[in-house]
Amino acid sequence: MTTAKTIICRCEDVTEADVRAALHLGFTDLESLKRYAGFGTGPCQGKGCLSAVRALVRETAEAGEPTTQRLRTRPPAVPVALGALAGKEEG
Amino acid sequence: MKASCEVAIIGAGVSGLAIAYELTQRGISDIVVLEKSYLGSGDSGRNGGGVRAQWTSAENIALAKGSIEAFRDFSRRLGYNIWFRQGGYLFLAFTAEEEATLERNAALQREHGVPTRMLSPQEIHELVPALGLSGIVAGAYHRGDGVLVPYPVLWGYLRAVQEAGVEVLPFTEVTGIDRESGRISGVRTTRGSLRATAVVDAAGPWSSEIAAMAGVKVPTQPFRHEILATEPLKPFLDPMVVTLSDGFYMSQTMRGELVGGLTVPGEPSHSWDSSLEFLRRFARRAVELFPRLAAVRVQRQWAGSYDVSPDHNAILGDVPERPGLYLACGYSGHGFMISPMVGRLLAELIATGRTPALLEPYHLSRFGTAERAEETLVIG
Repeated sequence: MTTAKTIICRCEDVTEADVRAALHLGFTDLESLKRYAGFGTGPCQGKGCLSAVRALVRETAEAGEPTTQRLRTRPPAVPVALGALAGKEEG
Repeated sequence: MKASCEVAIIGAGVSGLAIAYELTQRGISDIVVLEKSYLGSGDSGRNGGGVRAQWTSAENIALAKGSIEAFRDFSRRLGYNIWFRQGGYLFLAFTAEEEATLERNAALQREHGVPTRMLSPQEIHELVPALGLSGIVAGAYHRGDGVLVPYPVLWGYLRAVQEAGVEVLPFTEVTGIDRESGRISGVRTTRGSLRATAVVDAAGPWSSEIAAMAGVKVPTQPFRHEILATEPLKPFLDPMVVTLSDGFYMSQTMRGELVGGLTVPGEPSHSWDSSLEFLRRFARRAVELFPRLAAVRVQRQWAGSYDVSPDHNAILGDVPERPGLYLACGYSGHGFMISPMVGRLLAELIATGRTPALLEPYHLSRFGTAERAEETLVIG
């Protein structure tokens, strides 16, 4: 059971209604949808929201519509401190 | 897709969409915008959102200055908040030579109505207290420069042109350009053929390949540039900070993330792979400049391409030996920030057949003839 306030992306407060509105506007490929609706770019980088978003896309997409349903990976897999990358101690 | 149109624009990035929008403002809306992937999938969606008037030629300053005005007005005109924050750009000098370069540039910018001023280390400290000052001898600062969020600019243009009747087709790749007795007559795409009176090459890093389909040699090459974003922090960094020697830049967006990059030299390629080498180099430089950022975590990194021209200036205008073809490419990393003015000027050219004076220095013919001063202030 979902409501208008059902949160899809907890990092960025994106609701199911936000995602449906973006789909309705024609942002039906996952890359465009991510950018328009704004999910998947917070601290968890999509780990919490992508399955739910994909389900909504599948439910909405017209058969045969040209689209991409894969997101390009954005490293790092988990956030890494600048100090660690720079080879210095965190501080 | 319709069978014919007046203007076919190749590339639904900010360049192509701005040109489409300005054409509709002139009453031309029989336009098809062709995009091989998704909207803004090229560099319009991969850049850091920097907008500055601190350039080293009168014409680049004029294009940027007019575009800053347009961005200031964008949300009101096009109904999308582009989060344009004018915190300025601060260029840092670490040697007397760099300081002299910045002073020369600032003088030229002031001459052309951009009030760039030189800052002492003390003034720099007051402007950006988080900056470690070791080695900094001076800075050049223009308060009117800033950063925006690129995508809402695309959405604003997209909605406006669609409402005007323009057809924007994502996932539609151009496979050929047709000619009839030397003149452009249309394009072939993965969705079929489209007759067109004019074709605009706004294909970013693929623009030389598109031009080649029309039998025109455009001397640009794609170079990968990497960028990253950190976790969000409370606002602490007002200007975009740039260092000349390595093209380092970093700014803070309105949602708190730090976004930045620096130049990692490489060979021409269409690669958008992310590298650990970039992460390491950027992190080393960022922590050197801002020691207290050592604990801040990188959240994501990505890459895009600069469509680089031999003199690092855009290639804009018609091609006399191929009537009907228009070029909007070779931006060399600063296409987004001049796109509103480029859109306006190219639309004027396409609609009237006359090249506006400000476009003349950007004509393709410069590479065959006279030498032109190189734009040296390319960063990232």
